[in-house]
Amino acid sequence: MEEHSEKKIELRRDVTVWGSYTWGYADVGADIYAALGLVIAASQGLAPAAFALAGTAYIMIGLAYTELASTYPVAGGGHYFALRGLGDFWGFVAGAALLLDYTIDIAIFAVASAGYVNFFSPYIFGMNIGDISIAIGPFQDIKIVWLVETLLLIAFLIVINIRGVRESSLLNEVLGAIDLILESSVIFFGFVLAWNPQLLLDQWTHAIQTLPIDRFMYGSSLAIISFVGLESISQAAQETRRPATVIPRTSLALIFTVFIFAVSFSTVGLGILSWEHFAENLGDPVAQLAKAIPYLGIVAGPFAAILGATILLTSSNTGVMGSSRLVFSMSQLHLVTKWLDKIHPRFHTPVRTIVVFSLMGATEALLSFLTPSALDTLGNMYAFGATLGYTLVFVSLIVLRFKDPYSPRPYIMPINLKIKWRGRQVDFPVLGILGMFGVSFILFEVILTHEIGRIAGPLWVILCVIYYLVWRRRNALPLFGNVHHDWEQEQVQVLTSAEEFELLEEYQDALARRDKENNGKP
Amino acid sequence: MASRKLLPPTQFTLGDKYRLMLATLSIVLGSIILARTIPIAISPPAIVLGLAFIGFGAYRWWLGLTRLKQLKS
Repeated sequence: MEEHSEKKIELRRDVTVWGSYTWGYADVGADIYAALGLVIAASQGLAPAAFALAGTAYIMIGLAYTELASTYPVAGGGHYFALRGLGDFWGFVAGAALLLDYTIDIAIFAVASAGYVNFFSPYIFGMNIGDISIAIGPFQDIKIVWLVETLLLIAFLIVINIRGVRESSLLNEVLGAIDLILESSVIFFGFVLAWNPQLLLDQWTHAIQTLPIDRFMYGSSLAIISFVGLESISQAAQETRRPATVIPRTSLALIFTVFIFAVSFSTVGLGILSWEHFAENLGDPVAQLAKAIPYLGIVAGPFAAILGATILLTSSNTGVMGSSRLVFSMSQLHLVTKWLDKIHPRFHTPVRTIVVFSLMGATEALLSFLTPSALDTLGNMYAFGATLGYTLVFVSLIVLRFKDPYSPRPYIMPINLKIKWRGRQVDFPVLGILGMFGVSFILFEVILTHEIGRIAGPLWVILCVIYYLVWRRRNALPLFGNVHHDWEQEQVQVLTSAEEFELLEEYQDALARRDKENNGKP
Repeated sequence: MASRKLLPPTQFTLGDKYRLMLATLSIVLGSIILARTIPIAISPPAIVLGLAFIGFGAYRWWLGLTRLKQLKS
């Protein structure tokens, strides 16, 4: 096993309440720009129900993340919780699944952001430069300018992320604020000025009578992509000031905002436009919606383009931040090579992970441009990683209630059964069980209905597992067993570093009581 | 495993005013949705959404007033 004799340079705690909120919002808020059209096209008039179904599972995921991220405020998110609860192997599997999402995040949102930027090109160049294409071998329609723009955007994000979390978090904060206002305006003015409840009701009734169940399932499984982002808050936990206090507040606010936005956009949208209109305009559903609002519609084109470009870029940035911190955490926990465990001496950011996984996102973008529709290809793969990772997080939440009842939980998921286990009282999470089944059902929907995702997703995880087994074998580490972790000592260090001294005292008291009950044995 | 309460506020901030404004807007929007939907038909998504906006607004008002009371005391 490799030993770390040198003093580790840690990530600095720079993220504030607003920064933590916008970090998550930047990721989730952009998802609706891509998901709205896709979900309405699949679920037709039942799209609000599809969003609500996926959103209900998402709320439970959100509550689970809030509990775990405030209890274990370290970089890593879902993979760290799975590792604590289920061991190294499952921690790695969860990490691999979520990493797939983060790298697709970088790619899909950079592609989409560049697409919105191209909205302005006819006014400047007299033509849409995003449509300029070339042929290379069997690939006849590679949109070369759009591709180059996408790669430039990813390069820009790499630079600002290497320079430090303050700069990139600031970008999230500013853009997050603008987009919150703009999205709220579309919803508010849409309902007040243009919404026709009769149209909504007609489409709802028609869908109930005619929509096949598998189309609804496909739509609701796509809707889960509107809710991928809470992982980001827990990723930011190690860089958040007073995380035990901040994370529950930001997470709960984010859960509500995103849920209400997703259901509102689909409800207002289907009361203004027909579902067929959304299906014909998958690329810019929010712009189509804004354009149909009286008064606001006059400036709807540029308005929606700026809105889309900014929030999508912010979301892509969240992908860079999330993937780099996830892999940084995995390397620290002996799950991937320590070569990645390198902090920039000047900027204190995980420089190698930022570069490697942003380049992976760039590669995914490049490959997607070889297919007929880059956005379709990337979107199809998106939901698999999230649902697999979340399922493991729920299992970990339940297991950790039994394995680690001593760590203070600043927030605890509601609805618990008090049970006795090995002489101790444990809060059994009923909502955690429901959430686990809910997310597992969506994972089942993804495997059943996503043609690319059900192949590429598991293939990615299998390749990662092969890498993991080879790397662990080479380093003489247990393949399916666990490296020794002193979790108690680590928890003390984490709480000390986070300056959560009240929690630290509570934790040490709980351990002392346990040792006393066990006659001095831990 | 007890949940932790926030510290009582020390001043009525701009953030508090923003939250109360947002709460008022939510109640207005929820009322508009319900007022326009109910005369036509009971449309499940619209009714649920209208009630959700009103509920959210009422909750934020309750939260704001609680903070004000804490501040005064």
